[in-house]
Amino acid sequence: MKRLTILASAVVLLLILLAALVYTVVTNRPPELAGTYLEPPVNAADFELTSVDGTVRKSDFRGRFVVLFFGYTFCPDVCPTTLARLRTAMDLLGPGAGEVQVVMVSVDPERDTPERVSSYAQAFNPGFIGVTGTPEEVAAVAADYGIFHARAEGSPETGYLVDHTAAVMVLDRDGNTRMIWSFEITPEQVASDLEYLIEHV
Amino acid sequence: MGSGATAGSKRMKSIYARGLLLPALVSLAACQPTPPPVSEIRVEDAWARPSRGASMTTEGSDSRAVTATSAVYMVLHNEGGRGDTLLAARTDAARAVEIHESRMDGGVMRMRRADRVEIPAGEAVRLKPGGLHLMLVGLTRELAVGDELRVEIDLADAGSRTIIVPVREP
Repeated sequence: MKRLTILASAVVLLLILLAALVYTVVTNRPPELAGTYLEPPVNAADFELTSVDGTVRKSDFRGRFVVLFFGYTFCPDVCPTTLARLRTAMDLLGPGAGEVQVVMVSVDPERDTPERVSSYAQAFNPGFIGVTGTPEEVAAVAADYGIFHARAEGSPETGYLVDHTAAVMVLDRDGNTRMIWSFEITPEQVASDLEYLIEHV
Repeated sequence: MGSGATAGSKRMKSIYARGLLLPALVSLAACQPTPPPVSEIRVEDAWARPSRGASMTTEGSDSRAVTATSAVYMVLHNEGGRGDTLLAARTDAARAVEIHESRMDGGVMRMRRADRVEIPAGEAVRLKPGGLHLMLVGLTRELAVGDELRVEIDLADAGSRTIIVPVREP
């Protein structure tokens, strides 16, 4: 009886391994994607930050893709460029945009209040969410996603500037990091990549 | 024979010289001296980003030195024969204008102030998103799509001039 159980278990295990092998082979990195596709997806911690509407948790968005962007409202060039591209991409995506949630996390919690970062994100698209937190909370979330951020000296007029990783993360429906877009990505590429993810992932 | 040929060629040279010298002197007198090359700066496709967020310039709670920012982009064509330099700019739409450059440094975006932008003769320098731009600090009013800003730019050679900059989406 025991030997049979062991044998059966071994066979089942083998079948599982075989299935996994076939699966990985079949789901190759799709050639048309502009972003860096992570296979398997990278497990990413839940986060809890604050928007103008209160607490925002990553787990709130389960079932949808999350486009996670780290920036700050004081930024005149890079951050608005990225958010404007994401806005255009959502327009291109049409109804598919309902499957995607764009979240901007402030890397400048000292200046970006929840109201400020929320109204900033929403100005690009009313569906975009802007969040911030205490410096410790923000630092922890940035670290979880491998996002570098550091103050840089500005002028007396500008105050400090913030250097930060400009890449945009895409989390899958389970909240794991699935794709990374570099700063240069175009709205068309964003829409096309998201279409693929919505369809296949 | 030798001297005759020499004398003859000497005379030839003399005639030649006089023949060339006179017109040369006349034309020199008639011409102005060649003017030194100058820069000729033409500004193309200037635009400003809309300001973001409701009442970002009037949030009373934030008593920091600066409020919202914006950026102005353009293409500076130097169609003259001499290099020029963009030194500074100002606008009544912002408390200060600084020249900045966004630069990618191994995945990290860093923005740094630039003292000046060189515009070599015969070339065009493009201020564009993700690169060089004029940073508007401390906006004095909301910038809505369709608005226009008056921005005065200072060029080392070509002097100062005011350009009209429309506010639009990228």
